[in-house]
Amino acid sequence: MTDLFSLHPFVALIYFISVFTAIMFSQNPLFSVIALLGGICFSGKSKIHIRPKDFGFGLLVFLAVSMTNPLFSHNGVTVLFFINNNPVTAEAIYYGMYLAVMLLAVLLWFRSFNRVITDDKWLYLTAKISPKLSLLLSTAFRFVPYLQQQVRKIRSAQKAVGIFAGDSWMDKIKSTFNVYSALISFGIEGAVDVGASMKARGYGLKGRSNYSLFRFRLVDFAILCFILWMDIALIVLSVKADIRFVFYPAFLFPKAQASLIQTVIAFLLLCFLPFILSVKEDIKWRFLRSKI
Amino acid sequence: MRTKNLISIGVFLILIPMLILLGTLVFKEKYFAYLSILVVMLSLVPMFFAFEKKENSSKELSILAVMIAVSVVGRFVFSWLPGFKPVTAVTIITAIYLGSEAGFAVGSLSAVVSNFYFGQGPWTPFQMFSWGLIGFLAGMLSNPLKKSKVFLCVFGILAGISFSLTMDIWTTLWADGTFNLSRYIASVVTALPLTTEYAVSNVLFLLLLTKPIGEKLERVKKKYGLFTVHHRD
Repeated sequence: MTDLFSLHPFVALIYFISVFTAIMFSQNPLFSVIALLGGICFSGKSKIHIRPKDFGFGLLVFLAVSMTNPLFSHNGVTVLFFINNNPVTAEAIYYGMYLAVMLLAVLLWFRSFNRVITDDKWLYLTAKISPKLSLLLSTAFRFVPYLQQQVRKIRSAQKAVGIFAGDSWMDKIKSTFNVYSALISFGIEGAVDVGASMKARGYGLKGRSNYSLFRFRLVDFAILCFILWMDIALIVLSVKADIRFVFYPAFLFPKAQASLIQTVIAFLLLCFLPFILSVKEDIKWRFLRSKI
Repeated sequence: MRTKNLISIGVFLILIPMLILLGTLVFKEKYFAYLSILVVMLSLVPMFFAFEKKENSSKELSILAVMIAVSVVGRFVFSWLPGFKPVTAVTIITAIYLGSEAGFAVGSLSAVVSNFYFGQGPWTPFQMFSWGLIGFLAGMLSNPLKKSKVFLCVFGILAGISFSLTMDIWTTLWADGTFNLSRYIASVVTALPLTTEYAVSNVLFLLLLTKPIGEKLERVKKKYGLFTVHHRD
């Protein structure tokens, strides 16, 4: 398995940083659209489902951002009409649309980021830089479901005893505060036990290992090289030639040149990399199955 | 202490100004959103470095972890009241009783941990920064905050307002790439109900929770001799 989920966390992190940086720095609507499409394809292909509701939400964000931008920004030469003596320009409307697509692309990729970089991967990464911080985070992550379980217990105990069992708002607020307060006492008392137990089992000694082990395989290295190659290509090409799309004061299209096309190809490959990896797995699966 | 100071000086006086200068010179106006994320992340580094270097017992660490978890679970427990997040209050209370560094750690890490449930995004560093700073300041002002209820309430209101204002800076930078004042004012105005709710809920949480949580923290501190001088337990 070599899809984005099974890659070494470090490679996955570098991948996401590359994508976010490229989306935010590209300043070209074409790039935002590519990023959005790449995000949709990957999310649709893998376990990150996109529901119709999400499309509705996306449309809402798109409308809100693209409609409000001309109200705040009066740059641009093509004045369409006036609202309260403030010009509404075509450039501002198009800029708003570009902004909205970029926003949606970043939000979508962050959703994938949340699914791919799970908390154990995150801890694995932070443990390298800051062992104490990662220990604190991992303990906190463990306490969250533990305390949630406790909330349910306290709540049902309160209900059974019959305090704050009414339906009125005041009762509900009071009971929530009561549960919360009990939870805090429980948590702090328990924490001291956990700390003592940690000490007894050798906290602070050398050679602590991770819960999840991630091996850096050859595939990881190859994909990391590919990502870095695309990154360097994007940086070099965008320094060499101006690929920016200028909105204000008037549209200025980047010149159609070889380096523009090369940049687009590099960005396409970068954004569709996880999708391609997933599809490759599918093909492999079919291929292997048909041989049986 | 030496290295800690060196790192703060390096980051705050050299690295961040250089980054901003570089950003404005090379990239012109468009990249403030990205730049601001980097600046915020960098400004968190010295604090975390100090935390890493300081010696803490395992009991102290697990108490901090439980306070983080408590503020995260609070977001679930009170989720039926929109805008009611006890994170700020728990951070402030932890800071008052356990000190600035504990406050910073609980505030900023609550943002990270809770966003694993509520969604990470480019806003995570900003929340870390705001909540961490609130915790740090509360720790510095721990004596007056302990003594006067009025001051505690004022601090809660200010914390709510400043949290909201910081997040609005982020919204503006995010939408425009530059700091557009009219958009900032507009987003502050649209966020006004939320800001009020933050302030009110902070005061409510502080009034109701400071005593019970404070007593428990104080008791645990005394009973096990935690968060006092450096020691190896």
